[in-house]
Amino acid sequence: MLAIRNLEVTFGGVRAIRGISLDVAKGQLVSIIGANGAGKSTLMNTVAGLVQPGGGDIMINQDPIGGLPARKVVKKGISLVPEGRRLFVNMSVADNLILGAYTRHGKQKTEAIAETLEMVYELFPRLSERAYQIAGTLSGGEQQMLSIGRALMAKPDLLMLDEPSMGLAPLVIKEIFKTIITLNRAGRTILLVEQNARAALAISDYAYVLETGRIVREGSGEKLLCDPGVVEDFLGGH
Amino acid sequence: MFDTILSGQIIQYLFTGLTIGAIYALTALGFNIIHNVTGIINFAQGDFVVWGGLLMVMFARFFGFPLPVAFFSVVGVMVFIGAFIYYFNIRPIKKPSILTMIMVTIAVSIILQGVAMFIWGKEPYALPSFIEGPPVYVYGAYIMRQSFWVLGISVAMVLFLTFFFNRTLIGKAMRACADDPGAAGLVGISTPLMICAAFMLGSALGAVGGAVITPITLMEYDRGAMIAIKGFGSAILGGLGSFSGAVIAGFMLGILESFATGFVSSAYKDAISLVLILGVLFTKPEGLFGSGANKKA
Ligand SMILES: Nc1ncnc2c1ncn2[C@@H]1O[C@H](COP(=O)(O)OP(=O)(O)OP(=O)(O)O)[C@@H](O)[C@H]1O
Ligand SMILES: [Mg+2]
Repeated sequence: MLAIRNLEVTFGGVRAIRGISLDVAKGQLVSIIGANGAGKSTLMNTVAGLVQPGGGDIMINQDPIGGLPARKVVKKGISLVPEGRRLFVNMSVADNLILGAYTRHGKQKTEAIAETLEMVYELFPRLSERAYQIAGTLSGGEQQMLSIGRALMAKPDLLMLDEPSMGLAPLVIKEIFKTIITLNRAGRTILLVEQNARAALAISDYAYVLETGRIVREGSGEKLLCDPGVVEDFLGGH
Repeated sequence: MFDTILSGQIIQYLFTGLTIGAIYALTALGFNIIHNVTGIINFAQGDFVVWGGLLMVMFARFFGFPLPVAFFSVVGVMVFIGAFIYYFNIRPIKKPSILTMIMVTIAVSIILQGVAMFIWGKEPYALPSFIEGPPVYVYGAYIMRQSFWVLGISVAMVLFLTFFFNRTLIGKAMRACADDPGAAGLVGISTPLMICAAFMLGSALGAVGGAVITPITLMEYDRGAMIAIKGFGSAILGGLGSFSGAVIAGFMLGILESFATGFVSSAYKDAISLVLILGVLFTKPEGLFGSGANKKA
């Protein structure tokens, strides 16, 4: 579904992404782990169109999307739940979700959009209880749910999540991970970035380890969980 | 006896203040619309008011259009001019920073003023009231009929904007750009398109103000700067970005000026309102009613 080839990203002469190639097949849950500053967010933002690539190709279903602005990438079926959630903080929960379906308005029936909204509220009952609350006043966990809900409203083929567990309590993280598994079991293709390496690897079909802009290891989730190098660096190895 | 004369006078000043305040309120709303979507202060906002008034004079008096036709033509032309300004002045900026965009709006203001002088010359223009007739007698005061038009249309504009920004998809999309342009892009909203829409709406709003006030105050090409200062002042007093704050502050400023004119001297009215604006800027820059609720969280 998603294919990245030799991707390069530079910020003012500094190479943040140095020739990355990776694949995400339909229906898979793929994760990317790596230390702070490894380039995980840069990679996600580049796919989503928030950052312009310096070279290489990004393809979704054989369709090149490298260099497209974010508003066009989302129309190709990729939604990003960005690092730090980035909600429309002065707007209500319901308005955030409605805007999540912005690309579908006028193209699809309102019933189809209402159906997705129903699905999101079913997934996160907390959001439906707080539909008219201003997003900026939600708790961290609720904000993360809303950010995921907003991305789902576009009915993406590929859902990308950048550190959804950031700054959340263990119990809430568990809930978020459960949701991710539910979504994946329902057939949704997911690309996940996580600091929480053990939890991410445990639920992944495939995973990549990023280090200073390069992929240094890759393999199935189980394989990486037992990989001595990964254990050493990310899993508090023994 | 003296009491009734005084109360009649107070009502008179109050209405005059509300009328001129309505224009400040509309101008302040125009500032807020463009500021909320782009983060910039559009210094051409006052010139939109001037153009609205002068175009109204041109369509109604010189072309002889019926008033409603003239009014909607003015709005249409100004929507077009707003889009034109965005397309040829804001959009081509290579590295749009707040400062460069503000500089561009200053240039646009100068150009609008120059073109207005070229078309209409330097003399002030009058326009008949929308409905002719003697002033209406209210509790010892004589209120010009046009005042009711000004107030009515201003209230209608506020209701329209409230509906537009809270109930329509494009209005919500514009607010989303104000909150987080990057996240707006992620859901598929085109920020450039929303900025263009903000300029179209802002210039139309200014023009409506100019069209309704000209029968009362006359209009000439260089009135824009003072209107912009008062409108900007109202936007600041009301808390930049807050629509309700802008409306309340606009009316307050108008009433203050009107009483200053009546009880002190018209020579001091601008000075008094500018002192108030500066006073608030120094002591409470988030605005009189600013609680930070409109600030980005
Ligand atoms: N807009 C930018 N301008 C300049 N440098 C940037 C920019 N964005 C990221 N970088 C740099 O690129 C490198 C990778 O950053 P990135 O945010 O992708 O890391 P990350 O893996 O997501 O880290 P974290 O786990 O802390 O979120 C860092 O050195 C960072 O300083
Ligand atoms: Mg990151």
